[in-house]
Amino acid sequence: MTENKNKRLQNFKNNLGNYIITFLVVFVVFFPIYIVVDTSFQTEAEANLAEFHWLPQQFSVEGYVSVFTSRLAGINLMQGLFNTLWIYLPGVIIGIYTSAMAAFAYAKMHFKLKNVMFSILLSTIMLPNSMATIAQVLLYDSIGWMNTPWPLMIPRMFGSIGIVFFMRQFYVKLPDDLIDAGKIDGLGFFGVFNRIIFPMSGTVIVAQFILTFISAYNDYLGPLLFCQSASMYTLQVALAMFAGPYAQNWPLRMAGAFVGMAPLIIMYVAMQKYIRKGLAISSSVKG
Amino acid sequence: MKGNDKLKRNGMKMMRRQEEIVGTLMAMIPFVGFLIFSLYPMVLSFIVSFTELKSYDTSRMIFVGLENYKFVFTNKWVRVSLLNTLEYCISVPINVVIAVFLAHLFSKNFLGSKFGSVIAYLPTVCSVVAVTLAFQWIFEANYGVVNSIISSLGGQKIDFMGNPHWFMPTVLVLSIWMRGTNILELQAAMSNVDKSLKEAAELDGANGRQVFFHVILPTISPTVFYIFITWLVVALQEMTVMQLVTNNGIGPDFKAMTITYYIYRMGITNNVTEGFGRACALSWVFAIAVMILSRILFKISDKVVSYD
Repeated sequence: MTENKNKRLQNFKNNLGNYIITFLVVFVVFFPIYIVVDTSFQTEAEANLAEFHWLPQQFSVEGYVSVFTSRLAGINLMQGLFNTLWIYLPGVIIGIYTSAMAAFAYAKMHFKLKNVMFSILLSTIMLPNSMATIAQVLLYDSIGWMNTPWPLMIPRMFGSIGIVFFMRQFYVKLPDDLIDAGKIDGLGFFGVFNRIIFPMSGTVIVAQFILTFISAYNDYLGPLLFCQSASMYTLQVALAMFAGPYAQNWPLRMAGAFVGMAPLIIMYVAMQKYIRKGLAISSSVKG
Repeated sequence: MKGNDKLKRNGMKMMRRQEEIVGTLMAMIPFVGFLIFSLYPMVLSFIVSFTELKSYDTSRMIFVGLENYKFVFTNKWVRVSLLNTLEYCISVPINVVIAVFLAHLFSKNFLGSKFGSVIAYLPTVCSVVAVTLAFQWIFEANYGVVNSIISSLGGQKIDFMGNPHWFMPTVLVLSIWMRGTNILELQAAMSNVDKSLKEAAELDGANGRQVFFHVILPTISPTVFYIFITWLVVALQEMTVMQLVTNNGIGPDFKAMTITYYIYRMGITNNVTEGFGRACALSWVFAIAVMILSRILFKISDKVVSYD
């Protein structure tokens, strides 16, 4: 008994440094989030007092009421969230499918142009986006896509080079027997991919979906450049827009900020196990 | 017998051809996307960079030769934006060091390490706009938390976002909070470090620090370098954070102006006076500089980093 206790005490002592640093990290991460939540429940007058209140003294949900019900700077934040979902989700979902498909072809199939195409793709991964973005405005304007959701939706459907590489790492390691088994059942390569390979890449797909969705959800420059009409403001643009005219209404702005972060935080915490697993599976061979 | 063989061979041939066509088609889609949405705009941008274009209508291009490039290399604001951009990039090595440290810490097995690693990644998930709003409020000049604490300690309030000396450090704090905690990839890499190697080192009497520097770090060094270079490329193109933190996009003493912002300003905001030509010229010069830099860094990393 005492030996056990001693052991535990020793263990605690050994890990004391780790505990302290972990506590500090958690504190630093939560500090701004706490300030956001704290302020969002204050009244405007209280937030603008010289002394900061660590707990709201007159608990008020006014900020949240405005965020959910009123049109601020031409758009309601909920409408913005809805816009973000319908504009980005199709591109993200289809894009992951097409990326996985290409990844499978690069990993397991033989065709003449494979090495050429792959090395071209490989060389593009480090190209700075900013080289293309400014001229994308000209491209989208010439085909009538400016101020429509298409520039944020369609290009994503073609997949992302990053995901292709990532998924390829995973597919390269799959045994060829899987494909042969599919072929014996009379499936072509496309069928093998659809019926066997894609369904069994679940964890990796989920991880990539979440990471891609996070980056799409947080996209700010895209809508700013290509989609300037108020009815199609995404959540991010709406948040940035209504901050301006309500410069000193901090409870309102913080309520907006919290509503803006919450969906992804919830999604991440719920799915983080899959993200980790998915990343660990395909990053074991790097190079 | 012979006929059967022939049939088989014909079948194989057909399968091969099918694989050829289907494979090319399947692999083609991201490639086509790249051609249309990246390569074409790049080529267009290259052409436009030799012209004067003050509207979206490309038929109104007027050829001006190297005029725009001359502008890029002599303009004062390009220099100012470049210096600000480089200053912002100080955050990258700091972020990488913090991220490696945190990833290593949370890959250990102690009570709370899992919780810590879940929480540590949270800032990366939070939207940039929401985070900048939060930091704007935290560092607000009159009523913000930090100034409230400073003045309760008897200090002088600081206009963090309005004072040119404080502006960049404040943005760096934001950037470190948001990106220094991006530990997922590093953790994935660390989870694949051979356990027997670690145990062998421990048996030989290596302490935690020695195991980290001699076993773990060399194994994950390709990932560390890769992350460093990609984060650097991202940081070099930053504009969102600075844009959101300031209300006019310029900031105190032009401190918020970065290269990408200046490209955007010339091409979009001040299209009528500056025009696309200058914006495209600057984006090409900058992109080539970034590419050369990342090439050099990769060459260096090939020499330094150990690949097994």
